[in-house]
Amino acid sequence: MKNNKRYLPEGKYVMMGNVAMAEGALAAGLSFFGGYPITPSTEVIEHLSKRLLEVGGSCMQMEDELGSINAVIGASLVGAKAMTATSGPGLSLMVETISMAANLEIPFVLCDVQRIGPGSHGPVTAPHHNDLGLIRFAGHGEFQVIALAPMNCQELFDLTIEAFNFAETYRCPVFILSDAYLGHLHEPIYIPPKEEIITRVINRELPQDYTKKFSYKDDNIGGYIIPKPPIIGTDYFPLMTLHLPHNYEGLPGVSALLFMEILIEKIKTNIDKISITDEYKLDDVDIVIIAYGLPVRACYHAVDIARKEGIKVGIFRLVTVWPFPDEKVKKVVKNVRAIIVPELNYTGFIAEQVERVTKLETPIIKIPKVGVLHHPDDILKVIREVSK
Amino acid sequence: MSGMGPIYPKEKPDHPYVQFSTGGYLFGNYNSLFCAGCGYGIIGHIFTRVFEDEKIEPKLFPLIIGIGCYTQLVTLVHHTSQKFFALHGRAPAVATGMKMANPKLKPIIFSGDGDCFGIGGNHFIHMCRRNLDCVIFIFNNSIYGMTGGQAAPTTLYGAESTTTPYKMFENRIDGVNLALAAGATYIARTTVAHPRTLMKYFRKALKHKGTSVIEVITPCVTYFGRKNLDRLGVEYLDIIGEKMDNTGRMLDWIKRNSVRINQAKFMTDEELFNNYIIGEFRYEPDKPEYSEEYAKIQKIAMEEK
Amino acid sequence: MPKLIENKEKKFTLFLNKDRCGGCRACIAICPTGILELSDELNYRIAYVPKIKEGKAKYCTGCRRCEYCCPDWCIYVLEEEEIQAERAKT
Repeated sequence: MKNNKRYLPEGKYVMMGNVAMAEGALAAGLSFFGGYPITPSTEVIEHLSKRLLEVGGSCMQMEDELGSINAVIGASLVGAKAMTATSGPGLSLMVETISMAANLEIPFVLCDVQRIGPGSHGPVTAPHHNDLGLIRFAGHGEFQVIALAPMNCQELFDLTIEAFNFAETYRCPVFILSDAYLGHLHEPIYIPPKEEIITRVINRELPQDYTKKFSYKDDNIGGYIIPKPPIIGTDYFPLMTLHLPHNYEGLPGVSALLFMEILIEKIKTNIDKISITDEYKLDDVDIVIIAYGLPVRACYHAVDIARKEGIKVGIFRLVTVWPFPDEKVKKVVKNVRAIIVPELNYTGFIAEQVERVTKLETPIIKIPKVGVLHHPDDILKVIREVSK
Repeated sequence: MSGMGPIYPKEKPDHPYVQFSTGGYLFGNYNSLFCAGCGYGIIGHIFTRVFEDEKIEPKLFPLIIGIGCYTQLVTLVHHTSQKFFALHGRAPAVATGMKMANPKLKPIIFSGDGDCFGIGGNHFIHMCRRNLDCVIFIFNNSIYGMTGGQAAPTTLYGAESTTTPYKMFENRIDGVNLALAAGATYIARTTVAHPRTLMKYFRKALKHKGTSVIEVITPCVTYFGRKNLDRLGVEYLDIIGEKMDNTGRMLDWIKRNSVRINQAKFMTDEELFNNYIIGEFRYEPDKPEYSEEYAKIQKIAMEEK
Repeated sequence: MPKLIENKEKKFTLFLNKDRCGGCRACIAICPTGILELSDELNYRIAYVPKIKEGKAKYCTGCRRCEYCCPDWCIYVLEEEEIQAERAKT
């Protein structure tokens, strides 16, 4: 007896970021959550411990992060949409399992509520976008992941549904890069009616063709076919689930080189469908700001003021932070005098990617901040210096 | 899985259970890849025999295999059982996820002594604490076999291995006491030299609602037997034993060293030194099983307005 | 298909698939009546294959302990009906 408590009635709510993400997961069809309390992502498991049971799902607080990510893998194998939420130290424990899940293409979503840097002490409720360095290569071996970066609670709700859709279609680890401030931010959000949400969600079903269970390269089409995820308890399950280079049946029969190509290219070739970006006043620009996550909100204000002063500046915002959209960025920064990259970390992970793409022809100015958000004046000062 | 082993002409009438094993089902006639004298071939045979005789619905009993020599059991177990390879030690956590996402399933876990008490100890303890409905086999050959014979948490006192060249001196984990303390509701230990009791325990565990822990003492001739005397731990009787370099001598050593529970009550600790106590240690069928209790709470949550 | 023992009264036969044997001698150790011993004949896997001791064939009770404990599943006991069923099938 499925009650309809899964979807909140349509309307405006004031919600905490973590809770909005949890509600987004419920709307996306979540039925298993395995987690472990860690500041600042504890509110997710607290909220789901109540809400997930109301919809007939199960929410398990496991003995450690290793247990929770492995429980998520077990649940996803059995056909349940599963996710976990953790922070930096928990993610470091989950890395081996993420690598195994990427090899066997087991879909799951991981919400990483990032907190300050290495180690486990320090101000744990301060944001620090440092996990992107780890998430891009989360685990031994070569594979590709998808990382989405929301900037407000409304996007935490919407992007979680997108994250589950990416996980189901591309069968790779999908991360939601929230952080301590965004996770604890209370903001009004609008939840659409149930009928509209249902149209957005891709459900887990069995395919018609039971012969192919893992991704493979189709030579006559020249592309990569990603079949639906196999489910234990049904006939649609491979003979072997070996974590070694395997063909579409799970048996060893593919060269390791080709297997790595499949794991990476199956995402890279679909980059136009995966890459979500946003633009703000980019029609005629001399200076471009490339940013993601919370810093973007300060940029809006700075750009408005700068535009009044006659400076041609605009924002190119990355919502899908990884894989990095090389082509789009090339087009945006073609005839631009300078690029400003405000990031909530010191090394500037996205700044590095921009340097790689532009091959250093245009100057790139980083505005690093750790644990403290960018103030619009910080960005405005840099815009004014550059525009001289 | 490299090298599927030599394939022989099909002999009539063949072993009744070869065609049910995965290798036999695929290639018709197949043998295991284990070292001569290993106990895992026996366990694969018993698993296939019970799977076939019990006529159980194979899809409801997913098999989760940890990391160790027993991963080769995948070609010996029943061909209809759905097999999943978990990471080293994480099989109990994967089983928890599977059980909670689909309560109709009852996962069966193959785990080794290093896999379960070493790296996966925390997950094993918490799975037993929750009394999750599943069966966990712990193959105790008191050595890390796959990586070449290192000392395991259950290596006997005075044993030689590649990482204890000067005799093992640490205390060893007693799996059964660990499971008793953690709260599993059906705990038994048997050895490969008593195959019928292993089958009896496995059938009972399949019907038992709750965590069934079955520790199986298996011989590892290549890395444990060849290096240790069969008088291991009873040197005080000053009988000089000889190396257990074939499975016959090792099986005799296991039979000699395994003591039944009732008999162990009357033996002093010194006599029980380096011995395995076999039998059923706990059987509480009426203890609440985790997923059933969880379903009750789910019902309350779903009815609440 | 070498029949090790053909027991007419109890109507069972002990079979041995010579080529599959790995020479681990588990059956020799586990046989309660101890009627098996190593033969000096090498098989496809370069291992010595078990054989019945002289005149000890009648002590075999068909308890299947050797069948359970064989890692390569090559020694096994078949009842009369099973043999007919097997032949009828193939």
